[in-house]
Amino acid sequence: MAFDIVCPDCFRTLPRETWNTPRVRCGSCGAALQVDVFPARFAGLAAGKAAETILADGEVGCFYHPGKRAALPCDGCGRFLCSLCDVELGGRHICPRCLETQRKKGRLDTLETERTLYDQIALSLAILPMIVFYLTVLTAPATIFVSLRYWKRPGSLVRPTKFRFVLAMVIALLQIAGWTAIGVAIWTARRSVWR
Amino acid sequence: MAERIYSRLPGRARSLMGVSSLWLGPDHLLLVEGRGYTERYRRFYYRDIASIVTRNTPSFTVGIIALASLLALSTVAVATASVDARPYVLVIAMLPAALALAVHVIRGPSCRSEISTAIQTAPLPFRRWRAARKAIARIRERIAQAQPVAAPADEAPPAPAAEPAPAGPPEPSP
Repeated sequence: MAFDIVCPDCFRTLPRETWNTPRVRCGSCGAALQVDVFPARFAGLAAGKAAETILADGEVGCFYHPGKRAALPCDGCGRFLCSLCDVELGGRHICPRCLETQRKKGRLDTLETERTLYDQIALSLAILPMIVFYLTVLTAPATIFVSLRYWKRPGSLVRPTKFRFVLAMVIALLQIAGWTAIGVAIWTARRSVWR
Repeated sequence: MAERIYSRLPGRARSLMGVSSLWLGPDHLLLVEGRGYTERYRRFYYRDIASIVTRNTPSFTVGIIALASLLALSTVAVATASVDARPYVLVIAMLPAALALAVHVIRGPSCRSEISTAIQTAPLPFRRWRAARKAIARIRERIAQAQPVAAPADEAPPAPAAEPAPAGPPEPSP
């Protein structure tokens, strides 16, 4: 079922003469538009597959629906699946249970809708407290803890790098080295005063 | 190190909530919405993308008017300032205004873009026509690979106007 393509300004249907033309104007509101229409616009929604009922003895049934004919095995657990239970994802066929398990474990990148950027947190923890520098006494060890604790957690989906973790730890180590140097200097000065 | 499977498309949208950007994936388009320390992802599979509509926005004109006014005000400020203060006023007020105006003009006209599939419509993070055109050209290449099937004749978008057929007498029926 093809749907209408409307002007985002006035929500009037854009006629076909305006499609795939470099620069056009909406006949209703006059807004300058570029309308790129692709073949999927004409295809409509694909119909879902229906599971087939077992008709003959000896036919293998689905693990989840024993009365339905098995179509293929799950690529994750090997259980037989009917067409209803088969979930195709990235060229693999898996059952709903494997899908849920892998989603929970974060092994399916294609299903992830949100990620926490622990490397960004670590870097902010290293840099932002430098505005009030004495806070770095606390935040430098915290930065190293966060970096090591979440090192293996997946970072950004589009920038899969550990650079921020490394940078945060380098900055934190420098801060710790700085505080150590200050501590040693104070201790040495006091010791010389006592003598 | 994890493999990079996404390549970045031109254009980004900044808002109070964060920065959005668009990435080309192997079989889908990934819209990344940055929210401080989290990223949200929306995927548009190439086989499902039905249309991309880009429209002009008045931001470019409004920006030019605002920045030109600011530049004019700062020019007046420079002209009326004392000789000693003039260089400071020039650097503090006039130069940033001129620079902002130049950058705004160089970046070109502004736009908004929307992507549609059969069941959803979502805004794309394009704010300038130049970035939008470049990105859409790259998206179109991927879509052409994923949607090779041509539209049915009765629903097909109009073809470019061809030479009109020469007028003549109708052919005699057998």
